[in-house]
Order: sequence, then structure tokens, then C-alpha cells
Amino acid sequence: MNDWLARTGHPRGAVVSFEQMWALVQPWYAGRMEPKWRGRTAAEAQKILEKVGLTGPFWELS
Amino acid sequence: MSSAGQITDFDWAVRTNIYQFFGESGRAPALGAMAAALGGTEHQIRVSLQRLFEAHEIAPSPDGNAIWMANPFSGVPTDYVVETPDMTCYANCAWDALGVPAILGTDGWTRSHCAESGEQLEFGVRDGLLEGDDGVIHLVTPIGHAWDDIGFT
Repeated sequence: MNDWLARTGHPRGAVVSFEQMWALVQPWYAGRMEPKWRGRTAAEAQKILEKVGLTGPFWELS
Repeated sequence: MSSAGQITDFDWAVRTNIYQFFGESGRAPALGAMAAALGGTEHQIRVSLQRLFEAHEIAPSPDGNAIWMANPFSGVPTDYVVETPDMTCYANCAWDALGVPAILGTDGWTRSHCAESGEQLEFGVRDGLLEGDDGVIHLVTPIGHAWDDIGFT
């Protein structure tokens, strides 16, 4: 990853395993295919992130 | 996150139409087809898309004439090709590559490549279980700024 960061000049962000991302996307995308979907508040989304252990400044929604 | 207060019922119907089309075909619907399906005009669809963009629900193309993103789906080719039992689609990123099977409640297999090494990378969900190559997902943009430049994110 260090080579990629040096090559692109991008700052180091957050590193997430496939397992953790799979744990996140299931609640994150739950209900979004439904016609009754009316969005999600930042607080609701923040709780989903926290439940899978994604906390800290990088993961702050507001 | 959504600030849905200004979104109309027609806007939500536009959103639903987009997601249903992606879910069934893997592709984005054309604005004309949406207008015909929803009994509106293409101008009304464009206005709805702008409100849905401001609510972080849909990203239209920069010219407003097509659907760019309805996360996890991409309306344009990307490096994340996801095969599901019923269709093949493009996801916007590695996050969304796993988002496709999550949102559809199906299996979904992604063929991509490692951004650093260029090596082919396969991962996804088979029989409901996460499988594939080892790897990590590096996210550059803090999530609170994801929609500041959704294309880069």
C-alpha cells in the first residue's frame, strides 16, 4: 500500500478487511431496494458503522 | 446521508425505478424510459435526479442526462464487475462490489485487480458466504466527505 500511496500522492485513509466490509454492507444496504425506502439519517448510519467497529474521525458522518 | 425533506413522492418513484432497473438488468435505465414508465417528462426526471443527488441517493452524470451511480450500482463501466445469479453489473468500488450481493440478497462475485500490484483479484459471496482472494480495502476519503466528490470517492 505504501507504494500506491507514494505513486498516487493520496493520503492514507482507512483500511478495512473484506470480512469487515461484508459485515458493514449487509445492514448498510438493507432495505434500499424497497419502494418504501425514504433514506436514512446520519445518526442511523453512524450506528451501523459503530456496530461493525468502524469508529474514529475517518468514520464520522457529521 | 439523506436530507429527504424536499424530496417528492415522484422523486422517490424515480429512485425506485432506477434501483429496480439496476437490480433486474444490471444497467441504468435511460431517462426517456423512466419518463415513460412514470408518466412524466425527461425534464421532470432531471429535476428529480438533482434533488436525489442533493439527498445523496442518486448520482446523475455531470450533464444530467444519465444515471452515473445508484450505490452500489454504477451506470458506467468500472474495474468492479459483479456477477450475480441473474445478471452482471458494475459496482462503484470495492465497498460497493460487496454491496451488490448485500442489496440484492443474492450471491455476487467480483473480478477486479489490486490497485497496487495490478494482479487480478476475485472476491465475493457464494452460497451466502464471503470467499475469494485475501486482501484489504483502502478507503481514501473520510466518509463524511464521500459525496463532496462522489466520483473520486
